[in-house]
Amino acid sequence: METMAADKLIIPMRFIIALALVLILVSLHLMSTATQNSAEIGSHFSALVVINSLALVSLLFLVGVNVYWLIRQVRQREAGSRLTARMISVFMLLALAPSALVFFYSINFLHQSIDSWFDVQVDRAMEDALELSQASLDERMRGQLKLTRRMADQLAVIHENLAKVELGGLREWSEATELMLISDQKRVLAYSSTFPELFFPGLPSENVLSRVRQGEDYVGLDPVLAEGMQVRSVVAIGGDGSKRYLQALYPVPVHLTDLAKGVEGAYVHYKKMGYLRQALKTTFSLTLFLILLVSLLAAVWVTFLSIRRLVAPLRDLEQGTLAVASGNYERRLPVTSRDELGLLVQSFNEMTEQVAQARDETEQAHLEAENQRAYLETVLRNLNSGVISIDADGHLRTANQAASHILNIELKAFLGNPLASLTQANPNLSDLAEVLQEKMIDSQARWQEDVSYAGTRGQRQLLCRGTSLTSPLGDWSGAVMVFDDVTDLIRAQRNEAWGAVAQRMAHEIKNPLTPIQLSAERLRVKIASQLHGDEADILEKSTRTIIRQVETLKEMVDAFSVYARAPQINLTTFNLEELIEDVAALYTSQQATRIQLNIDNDLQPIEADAGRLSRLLHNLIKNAEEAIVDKDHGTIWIRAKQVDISGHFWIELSVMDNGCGLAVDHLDSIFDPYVTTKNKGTGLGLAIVKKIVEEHRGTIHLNTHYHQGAEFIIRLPITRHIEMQVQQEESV
Amino acid sequence: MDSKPLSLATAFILGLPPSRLIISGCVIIVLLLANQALSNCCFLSHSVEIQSAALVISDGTTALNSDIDYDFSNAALTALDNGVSLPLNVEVVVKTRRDWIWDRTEWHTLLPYQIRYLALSKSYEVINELSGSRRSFASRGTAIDALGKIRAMPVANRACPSQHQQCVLLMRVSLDRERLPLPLRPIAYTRLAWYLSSRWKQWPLTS
Repeated sequence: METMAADKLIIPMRFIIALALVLILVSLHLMSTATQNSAEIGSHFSALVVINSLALVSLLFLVGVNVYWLIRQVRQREAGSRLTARMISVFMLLALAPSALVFFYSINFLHQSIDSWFDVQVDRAMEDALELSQASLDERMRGQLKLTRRMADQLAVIHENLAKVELGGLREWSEATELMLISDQKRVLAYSSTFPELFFPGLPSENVLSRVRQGEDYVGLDPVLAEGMQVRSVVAIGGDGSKRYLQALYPVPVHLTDLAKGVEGAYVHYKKMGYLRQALKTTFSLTLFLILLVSLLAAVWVTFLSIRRLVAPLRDLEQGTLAVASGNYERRLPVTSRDELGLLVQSFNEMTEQVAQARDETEQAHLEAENQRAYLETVLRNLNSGVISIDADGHLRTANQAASHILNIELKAFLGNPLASLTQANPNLSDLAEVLQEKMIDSQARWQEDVSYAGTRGQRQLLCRGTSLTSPLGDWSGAVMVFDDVTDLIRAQRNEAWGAVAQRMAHEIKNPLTPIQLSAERLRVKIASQLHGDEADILEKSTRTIIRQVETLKEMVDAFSVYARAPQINLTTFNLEELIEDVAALYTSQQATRIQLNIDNDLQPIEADAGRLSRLLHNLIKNAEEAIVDKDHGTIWIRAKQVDISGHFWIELSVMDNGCGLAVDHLDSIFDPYVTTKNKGTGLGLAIVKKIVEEHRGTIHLNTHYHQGAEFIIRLPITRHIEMQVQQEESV
Repeated sequence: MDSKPLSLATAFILGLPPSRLIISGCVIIVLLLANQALSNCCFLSHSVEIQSAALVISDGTTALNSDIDYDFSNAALTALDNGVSLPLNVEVVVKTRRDWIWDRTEWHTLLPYQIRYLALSKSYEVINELSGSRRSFASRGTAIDALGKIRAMPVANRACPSQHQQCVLLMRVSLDRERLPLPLRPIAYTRLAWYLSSRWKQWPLTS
C-alpha cells in the first residue's frame, strides 16, 4: 500500500517540482528584463525581487534542511548516507567552482561596462551642451527682458487707463503671447493675450514679485504643458517706487524648445545615470547574484532529490540485508526503477523469497522431526523395556527411563559420554559393558543374548536384543539395544518348575514312607522275638536302617515342601548380629565345630524375615560343617559387615570354611536344586539359601578366588529398601 | 489515508518529518512578524510631518488644505539635484467611527506629487500629477515649501455621509519607491535614508 501511494505521488510531485522550477526561471528572466529598464516590467521590479528572494529563501531552507538531515544521517551511519554525501559533495564542487568563476568575471565585466559608460570628455560635452543651450536661451531671455523693460517704460509715462488700451498693441509689437499689468497687491490691472478666449492668467509667484519689488527685473523659463517652454519676464513699471508690474510671457520656438529639451533630457539622464552608477552596479550584481544563487540552489535541491532517489534502492538493500541477517525473510523491497538497481532489488526480493521458502521447509521438517522425536520419546518413556543407543563414536546417545530403572543408574548423566565412563562410575556394570562393547560396537548384525550381571540389586538377568544403525548413506552410525530384566521371570519360572517337582516328589514319596516305616517297625516287633543270634542282629540292623532312611526321606520331603512352599515373607527389623550368634551357638554347643565370628559392631538393624535368615545360616553352616567333617582343624568363619554400593547400604555376610572346597565343574550349578557333591543330602540346601537370598532381593555368590575351602558371600539390603524396591518393581 | 501521501510528499521534498516542517514554518513566520514589528517600531525615523489638514466644502466639492513639513534626507536631496525625480503620495482617508467594530472607510484618495530638478532653467518643478499642474521654483527650498502647501485641492464630492456621525480625516505622506528609478529601488528599500514618510495623522471632521 505504501509503495502504491508513493508511486501515485511521485508523478504529481515531479510535476509540481518542475512547475516550481519553471516559475522560478520565468521570474528570474522577468527580473533580468526589468533590470534592463523595460517599461512594462520595470514597475514590477520590486515584486519580482521579492518573489525571487522568497524563492531563494525557500530553496535555501530546503537545501539547508536537506544538508542538516544528510549530516545527521551520516553521523548516525544510516544506510546510503555516505554515498549521498559523497555524490552531493562532488556535484557541488563541480557546479559551484565554475559558477563562482563565471559569476566573478561577469561581475567584473559588468562593473567595467557600467564604468565605461561614463567618461570625462562625455561629462564635459554634456556640460557644454547644456551650457550652450542655457546661453542661447539666456541671450533670448535677455533680449526679451529688454523688450519688456522698454514696454514698461512706455507704460510708465501714460495713464493707467490708457495703459490698458496700449497693452494690446505692445503685445503685438513685442510678439509676446501674454502681457499682464499687475498691482502691488497682485491684482491683474490689465491683460492682453494671444488667446483671449482662454483667460487663465499665470500670475508670478510671490518670490518673483519680491525680487521685482526690490528693483531686480526677473526673467526665467517656465514649463508649458508637458514639453513646451515660455519665457517669463517681470519688471516694475516706473522704477523702484512703482506699485505696478508688467509681466510678459514670450513663447520659445518649438524647434528651440525641442533642442533645449533634448539637451536637457540627455544631460539629466546622463547625470542621473552617473549618480545611479553605484546603485546600477549594485542592482545588476544583485540580480546576477540572485539568478546565480537561485539557479544553484535549485540545482542542488534537485540534485538532493535525484541522488536520494538514486540511492534509495541501495539504502533499501542494506536495510533488507540487515533484516535478512536478523532472520526477517519476509521483507520485500520496492522496485522503483527498471535499471540495473531495480534488477538488483528484484533479485534480492527473489533471493529472500527463496530463502524464506527454504527456511519454512526446514522449519516444517524440523517440526516433523521434533514431533517424531517427541513421539519416540513418549514411546520409549512408556516402554517397560530398556532402550539405549550409541553413536558412531561409541558415546551413549539415547537411554530411556526403563533402562535407567533396570540398571538402577541415572543414565541421562552419561548421555554423550563414552561407555567407558559408565563402567568407571559403576564397576558392577563391567560385565554388561563388555557385552555392549562386543555386540553393539564390534558386531554389525542383529543380535540377541542373555546377559547376567551383578547389579546393585543383586544378580540380574537381562535379555538383550540389538541392531546396528546406519546413516542414509549406508554407513554405520551406531547401534541400539533393547533389553528386559528377566531375572524375576526366570526365577519365577524356575521356582514354579522346581516347586511343581518338589510337590510331586513330596506327594509321591511321603505317602508310602509312613507305611514303610510302620511296616519296618512291625517287622522288628513281630519277628525280633522269633529270631536269635545273627539273624536277630540282621533284622535289627535292617529295620533300623529302613526306619532311618525313611526318616531321611521324610526330612528330604519336608525340605522339598519348604522349597516348594509359596514365599510369604514376614519382614521384621532385628539385629543380625544376635541372630548369627544364636545360630552359631547351637553348633558350637552341640558338636565340636569351630566357628569364628567376625561381626562389625556398627551393623544396622536389618529388615528381613528372621526365620528364613536363620534357616539360611543353618544351611550354610551345615554345608560348611559337612565340608570340614574330615578335617582335623576344620573351622568355619562367619563375617558380617555393612557395605555401601552405589549409595545403598547392604549387609555383607560371608560364610567360609577350610574344607574340601568345590569342584570346578559344579561352580555354575551349585545353587541349582538336587545338585550336590556329597554322598548324602537332598541337594536343596544351597538352592534354598539362594531362594531366601533372592526373596530378600539380595545376592549370593561363591568366591572363586578362595581356594582353601569354600566361601559364600551374601549381600542383603538393609531395612525397608527391599519393600520399596518390590513396590517399585510391581509398579513398573 | 490522506496524511500518509502528504507525509510522503514532504519527506520526498525536504527529507524531514512533517512535524519538523511545521515547526520550522512556524519559526520562520514568527521571525518575519518580529522583523516587521521591529521595523515599524524602532528603526524608522519619520522625516515628513503633517502640520495641519482640513477639508473645506465648497460648491459641493470637498477640498483639502494642508501644510506639510518635508525634511528630506541628504541622500534624497542629492538624488534630486542629480536629476532623480522624487515621487510622493499624499493619502487622504475619511472614516466613520464605530463603537464596536472597526471604522468604516468613507473614501480614500491618493494625491500623487513629484518634485524634480530642471537643469536647463536651473529650477525645481513641483508637479501635481492628479491635476497636471506644474510649478517651477528657482530654489530647492522654495519648491519643497510649495510642495508642502496644499491649498483647495479637490479630493472628493462629499466629506462625511452624515452630520450625526463622527468622522475623522486621516492623512499620510510617503515616498513612492516604486516610481523611483529602478536601480534606486533596492537601495530605497534597504536604507533608512530613503524611508521618507509620515505617520498616519488624523483630525476630527466638524461641520
